[in-house]
Amino acid sequence: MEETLQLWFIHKIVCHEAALMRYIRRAWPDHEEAADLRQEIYAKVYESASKSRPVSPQYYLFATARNLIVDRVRRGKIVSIEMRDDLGEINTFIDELSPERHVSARQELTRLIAAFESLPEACRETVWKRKVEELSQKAVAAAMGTKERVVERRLHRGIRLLAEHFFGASENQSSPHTQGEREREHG
Amino acid sequence: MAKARAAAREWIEEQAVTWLVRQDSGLIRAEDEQKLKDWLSESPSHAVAYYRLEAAWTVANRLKTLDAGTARADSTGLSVRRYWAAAAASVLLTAGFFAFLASALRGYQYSTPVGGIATVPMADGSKVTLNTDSSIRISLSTKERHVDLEQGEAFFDVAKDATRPFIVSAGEKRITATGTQFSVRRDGDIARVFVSEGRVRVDTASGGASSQIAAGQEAEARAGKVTIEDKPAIRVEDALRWRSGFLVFHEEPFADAVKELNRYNERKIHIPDLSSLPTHLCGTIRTDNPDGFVRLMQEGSQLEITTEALPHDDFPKSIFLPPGDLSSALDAAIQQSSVQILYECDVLRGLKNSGASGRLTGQQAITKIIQGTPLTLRTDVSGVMLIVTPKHFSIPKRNAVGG
Repeated sequence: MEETLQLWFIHKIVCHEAALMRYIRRAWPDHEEAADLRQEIYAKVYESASKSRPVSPQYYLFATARNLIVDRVRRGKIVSIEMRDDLGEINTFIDELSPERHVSARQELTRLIAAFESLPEACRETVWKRKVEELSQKAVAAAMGTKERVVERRLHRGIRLLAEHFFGASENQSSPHTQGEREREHG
Repeated sequence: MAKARAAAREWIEEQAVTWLVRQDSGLIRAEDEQKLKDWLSESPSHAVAYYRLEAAWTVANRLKTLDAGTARADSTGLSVRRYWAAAAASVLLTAGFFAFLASALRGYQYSTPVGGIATVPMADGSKVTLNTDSSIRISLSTKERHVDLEQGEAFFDVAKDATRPFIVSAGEKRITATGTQFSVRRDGDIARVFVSEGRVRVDTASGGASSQIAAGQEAEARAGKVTIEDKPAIRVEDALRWRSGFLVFHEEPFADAVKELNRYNERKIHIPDLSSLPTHLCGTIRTDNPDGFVRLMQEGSQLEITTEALPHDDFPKSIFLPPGDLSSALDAAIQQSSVQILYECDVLRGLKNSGASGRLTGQQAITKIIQGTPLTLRTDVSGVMLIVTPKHFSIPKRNAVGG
């Protein structure tokens, strides 16, 4: 049960992350908060799906996003210029996703490469050595002439950025580094 | 308010990635595993952050097949660049990335040590399972998917892609498929191809013989010649049991059975005198159990229980063994359980059994079906059993067996 919910979450929800992020950025003026909203939306969807799975996951995802944003707008002082009261806009976002959107292995690889490519150099090399050359963290540290702690920190950063760019980047938009992900290699 | 939210997310994501990296290092302790489970069930915010990062990190396994796009070993930097330009669309690739690719030009190599098994996922969705002491090199391009079997044996589960044939080369032999399951074993100049699903084409050399091999067939390709043999369904499964760590023998000359077992172990079995041993073996044994094999075959010698026992994985399962022919019932027992059992094939000839069914271990089921026959079981500490007759191993040899 636990595992199938996890898979459902990845295959039916996280796979729409690029469209979701575009929707959030359109509806919410402060783009720095987009990732926080995403996290909150995911948690709500996940919690509700643990009780019963929605019939249309992507519709449910966008409806949750919309409700959360509407709620924020009402409670807060911020007024979103793009905010609409009807769900029409959600439908246009959902329409972008074909019903059973199937990302081919090749497209997936292309996106992965783009995400990998976007990593800062030290991060990228660390990820490569750990993932592809399958070196232990210790061995990566030795190979790169640095401390294991540094390797660990680069892995943390690398994984988070990979997720950000792999799931969140839209096809026709190069992915800028998110705010708050500043280079922290020397610490 | 917004600041607090950002800080909360940051903190959760950092915790999630810390768990993930620790888990991924393989050094996580049992009590930490429990702590991770607790942390995940504490809040859906934790679960979603962790699973999302974990999914991204799993997808990154595909970086291993980044040689996708390198056309062939002889391709130039230019064609690589062109491919990537098309594949990566608007993504600008830096010089640094090409340096990575350049090192990947010859394709990625994967290998297993003696006794090892490994499954390699490929970028196109296919999977390769490497048997003991084997090595392959993968290179994918827009036109074809190529795996060079440099040594040993591998099983290929090929994702369907009619536009890009999947080609395995073993020396001069080439095996071509579009979407199917088959294994290839390379033994010097000989390649053995076993098809469990779909069909493949085997070419012995450029311009040489070409044959279609269908599911349930085994082909042996030598220089300029391919011999094809039909196999019953049960033998197809037997031939692929190595993927779960078992060897299955069917009328296997004793010396060949020893040779097979030696493929999987650094410590080789050497038997100077085969004369008191069965000529042909049937049954099954774990590939990592040469000691059990040797002990069983040392007739009359005391069983020494000195070495550490291997884990027995012969757990009770629901088993159904058909009454009637004893050797069919034994075949079924081997298929349905994780029992290890060996016997001289001839000893079962003409014997019947009254069947067995229920939740049983393989050992219990076999004990049941040989009741009422003159046969008894000798069991080694490692779990492997030998079926013995009152006049064990005194059967006249059918032919000489070379070592």
